[in-house]
Amino acid sequence: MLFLHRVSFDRPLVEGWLWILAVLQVTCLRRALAFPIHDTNPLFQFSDLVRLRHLYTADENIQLHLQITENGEVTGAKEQNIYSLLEMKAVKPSVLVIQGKKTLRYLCMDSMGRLFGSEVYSETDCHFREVPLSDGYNLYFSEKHRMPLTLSDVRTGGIGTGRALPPLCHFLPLVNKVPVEAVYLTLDPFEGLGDSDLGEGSEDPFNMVQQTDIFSPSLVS
Amino acid sequence: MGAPGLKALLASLALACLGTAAGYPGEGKQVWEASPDFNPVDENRRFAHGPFPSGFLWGAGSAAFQVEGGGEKETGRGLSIWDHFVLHQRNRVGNTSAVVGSADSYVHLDKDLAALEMLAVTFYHFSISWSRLFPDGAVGSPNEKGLRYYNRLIDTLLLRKVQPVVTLYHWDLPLTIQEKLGGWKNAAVIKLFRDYAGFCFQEFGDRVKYWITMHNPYLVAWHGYRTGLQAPGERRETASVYAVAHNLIKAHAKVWHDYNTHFRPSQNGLLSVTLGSHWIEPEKGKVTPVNIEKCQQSIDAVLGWFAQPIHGDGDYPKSLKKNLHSLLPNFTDTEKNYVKGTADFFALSFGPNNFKPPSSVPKMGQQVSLNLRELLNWIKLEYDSPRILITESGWFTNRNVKTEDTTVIYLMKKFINEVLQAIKYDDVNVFGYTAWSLMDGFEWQDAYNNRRGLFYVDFNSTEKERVPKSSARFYQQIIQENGFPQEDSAPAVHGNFPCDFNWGITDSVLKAEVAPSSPQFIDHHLYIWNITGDGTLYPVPGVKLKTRPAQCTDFVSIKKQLALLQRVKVTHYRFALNWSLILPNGDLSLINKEVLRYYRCMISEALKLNITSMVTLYYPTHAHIGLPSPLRDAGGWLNQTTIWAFHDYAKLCFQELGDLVKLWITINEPNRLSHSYNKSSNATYQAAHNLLIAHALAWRTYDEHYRPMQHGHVALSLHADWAEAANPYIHSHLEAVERFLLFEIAWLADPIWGDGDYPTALREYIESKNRKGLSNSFLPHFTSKERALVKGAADFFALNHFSTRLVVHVNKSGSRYESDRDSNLLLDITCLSSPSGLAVVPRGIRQVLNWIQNKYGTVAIYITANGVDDKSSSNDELRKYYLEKYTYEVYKAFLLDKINIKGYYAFTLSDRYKPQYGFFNSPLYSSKAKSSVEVYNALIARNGFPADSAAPSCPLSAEKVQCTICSFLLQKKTLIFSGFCLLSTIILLLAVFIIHSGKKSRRNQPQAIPSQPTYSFQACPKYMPS
Repeated sequence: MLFLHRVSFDRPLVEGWLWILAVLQVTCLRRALAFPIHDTNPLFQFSDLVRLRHLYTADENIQLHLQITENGEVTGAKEQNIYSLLEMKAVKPSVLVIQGKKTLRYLCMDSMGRLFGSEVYSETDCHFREVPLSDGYNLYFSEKHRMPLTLSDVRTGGIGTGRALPPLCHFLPLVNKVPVEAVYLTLDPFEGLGDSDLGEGSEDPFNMVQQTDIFSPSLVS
Repeated sequence: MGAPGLKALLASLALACLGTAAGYPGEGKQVWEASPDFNPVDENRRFAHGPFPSGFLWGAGSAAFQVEGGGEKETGRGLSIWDHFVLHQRNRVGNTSAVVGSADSYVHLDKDLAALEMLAVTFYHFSISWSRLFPDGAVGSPNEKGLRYYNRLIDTLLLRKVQPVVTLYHWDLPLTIQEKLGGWKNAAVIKLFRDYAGFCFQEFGDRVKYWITMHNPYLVAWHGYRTGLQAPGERRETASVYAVAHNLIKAHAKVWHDYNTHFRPSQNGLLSVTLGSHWIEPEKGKVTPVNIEKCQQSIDAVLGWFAQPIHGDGDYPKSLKKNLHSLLPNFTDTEKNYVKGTADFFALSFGPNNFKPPSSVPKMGQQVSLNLRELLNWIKLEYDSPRILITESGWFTNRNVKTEDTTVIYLMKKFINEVLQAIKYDDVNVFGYTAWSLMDGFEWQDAYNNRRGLFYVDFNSTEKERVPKSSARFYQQIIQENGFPQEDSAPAVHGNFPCDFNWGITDSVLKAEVAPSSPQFIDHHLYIWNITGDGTLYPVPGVKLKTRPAQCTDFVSIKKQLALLQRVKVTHYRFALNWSLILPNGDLSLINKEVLRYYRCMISEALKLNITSMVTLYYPTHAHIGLPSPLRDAGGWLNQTTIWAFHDYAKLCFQELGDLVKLWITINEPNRLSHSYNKSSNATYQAAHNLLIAHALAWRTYDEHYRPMQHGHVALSLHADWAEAANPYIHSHLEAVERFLLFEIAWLADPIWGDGDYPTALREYIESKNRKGLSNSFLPHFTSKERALVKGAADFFALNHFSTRLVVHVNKSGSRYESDRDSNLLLDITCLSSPSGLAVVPRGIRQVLNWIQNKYGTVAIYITANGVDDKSSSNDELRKYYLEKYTYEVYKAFLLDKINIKGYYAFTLSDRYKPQYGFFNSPLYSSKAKSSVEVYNALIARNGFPADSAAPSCPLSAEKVQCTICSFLLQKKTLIFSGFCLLSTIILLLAVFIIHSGKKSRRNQPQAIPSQPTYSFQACPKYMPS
């Protein structure tokens, strides 16, 4: 401000500068208050379009990670595990498709707000709108059914219903810490052919003679 | 040298320091402590080539009761406990119908000697039947016939320059001793054994220089007195078993002292006891102190039980004493000193008997192993580097195997090579090896159900001829060469591949990005972010933005992929298109142009980096047959419509991408299709038939309509592994190899490169199987039109080669493609192999290239896939080794065999998930490069194997030189632009100044004093705002 006093400019110019400064300050303050967690808005990332995350949620009593089990149930797990590893992919601005990496089931919601892991993908049930909150957590709403994603049994609140949101609906996408080999361990018919158990009592203890089909590596990958 | 190497070095240093202390009980643990993460291609971990030390003893063995026969009545032999056991405990031994007169060595001694002569062994390890010399066990007047027999045996051996190695007691205790005294439970037997041994020294010691007191006392004690599996078949409580062992040890020690005092001075022989052992490794490779301790206990409980008193400190191992307390007899200090050191060398038995039955091996939760090298190292460490004679080694086959004992060859190869490795790399002092056994015989508790001989004996015949098995021929060869000579001693060759050689990398179906990477490029809306409210984005109504036109940079994945290719510096990139994605309906009713654009972008962007694409149209895998679902559901390749659908698809691809693609592969590995159509052989043959026609149609279309404009080349790629006979001594295996190649490669190569039909031999073989009722396969026929279509329908020979298979002839019947071939595969356990079981046999690629050239003439050949799986995610030593060796063999084929090789495509670019075939890790692991990338990189830079790698092999083309300039410009585009801006601003400013000052000076000209120069800017009046 001293600087402004010493150097005198035309009045309109000074006013203009002050305006810019004020706006900057206000936006900074706002940003400091409501800066969303980095990498949560689908528009922010270009190269990392597909994210592997665990959706973490908590209340005073419990901490959970959303998981999709082999039989398609959506539940909460205390620790990160291969079933809670989710692939989150933006399909439209702020709209995501979430898929369990292990089970390859999509996270979907029916018209009653019930969650399920579906093997088939449907735009109606499996699109979720991501709403970043100021505290870094996100809310997820079914795009079609407009109900929030939650791990609690309480099914209230939706966009425009005016009702309070259910518990356990604030999710924090956490970076994966689970070794991913376990996730991708598929049944490879030619896996570990060489190191089977020794058949000590057998005339061919190393199973040298094989009747299996010839396999070609180029058909494996 | 990595961490394991360092660890090994430290371990060896520690060993060197411990020099004097070596041989302390427990030292053997170091064997397990060595890191299991060794480099698989380390020379001292691979199959060892080279000779054994000169003077190494090669022998074959047998035991009296197993082979002699010779009934007690006519020969005067007394009954042994085994005669009794077989007769009275038949339920415990298998088929025992013909115990007496088994191989009848007593009668057919000459045949044994002839067999030994054929092998050209340096020694024969046999045992003397105690009850043959003294029918009731007590030394008195010996049975003359028996005495004569052994004298004759020893004399003839010496005459033929074969050393006798004689075991005094190989389990056939005279029955009288068992019945009167209770056998080895009674310490009185010791005295009888001493007398018997003394007689033998007296009688034969002038000619026998290697004496073994007893064979594998562990089995005598454990199975004879504990499990009852062997004679005398008693099931005693623990204490008796250890008492038996105590007596056996004492008996041996006494005999050694007798020999040492009374006979050695005059006879100068050596004496020991054969101790048998299994081997064990930490469970699942978990090298923890607890597991190591358990492994040590396991070996101590078997080998240590006898070896530590005799070869070690004279007492039982600590773990035994701790576990058994009072059940284990005590050695007094005097006894310890008496027992200690009572062996002139370490006689080791390593064979199936110590592994059978699996339930009786003290595993302690660990993993039983057949690693002889590690056992030898354990003995070296535990007992202070003794001289070791392997007095029994080998495996067995079941009774049905006659002379074709192929598996035995490979186990023998493994055991003998491990001995060589132990000598060569670990300084273990092994001085002889005994192949067990010389001929088939009575196999103890397995009776005649197993065979262990190098020579086959038909027990039902009268002549009992000794017929050499394959293992005999193999052993004969090893003895003749005194080891394993180097395979290839030809001098190294040097030079380069041609300058236009394709150095490529192969990829499977390239996953196309179906939508451009960011929504902002397709979304016309402008949004307001309601950040204070509900936080969502609201489109501003009425505002429509213009989106950027589509361009290749929209596809992020292309950039990533190209970055990998650039890192390897390949000249060519082979990838496959996704048919079902391009034509989801299977026909041309729906064409996914966006996917085609993606692939086009991939090709054109790669071309900008001087990477040429080789495009595969159809690339089926195990998981996905890769057909559009309507085609797949309609029967896939068994339905003829698929042929035309493929034709249309190929045409579309030629049309859309042909201007950029000059190398096309229509179908990848149609000969591996049996995986997908394996319900019957007919399905496999028919599907392959249709694939062949589909390919030919595509080729014809290209040839007629696109080649004149596009000038490209089209072929199909075949899976072409090499094959060798698992058993080179058997004619049927050699035939099986021919047949294997016929069924694998010629099947689909002949119609194209030959006369337009399947190989006649193939057709005839299938037909002859049909006639015998062993198969109902039908190989389709080509119509004359199809024949003309298929014949010559390829511009080059593309082959995917990964490994060499060992083929075993087996007669099969069945309705599957695999059974028509009448062969099984064998995995050579001594051969360097990948984790998935691919044998690394570099010479195989040269062989298969030669085979193709011999069969189909000088055709242009592309190796369209060659690679191996490696478990390592960073330092993939196996892949580096494989790449170097295989490309070198390719170079030899090019240089020496004049094979027209156009390109080499390494398999594959990146892993899918965990480390496997990729040069790069999976994108899930940020596509981290493995160290093989550098190796391939260097290979490409050298363009082969030049003697002087510094000299560039190919002159840089003008285009390339030019491109270095344009790439420089391209790279520094922004810098150049901003530099230009800066420069022009400066010029502008300068110009303003000059003009300004010029005006000033003109204005001040009248006042100017020429003698006082003033700078123009000083002349400027300071501007002060008022």
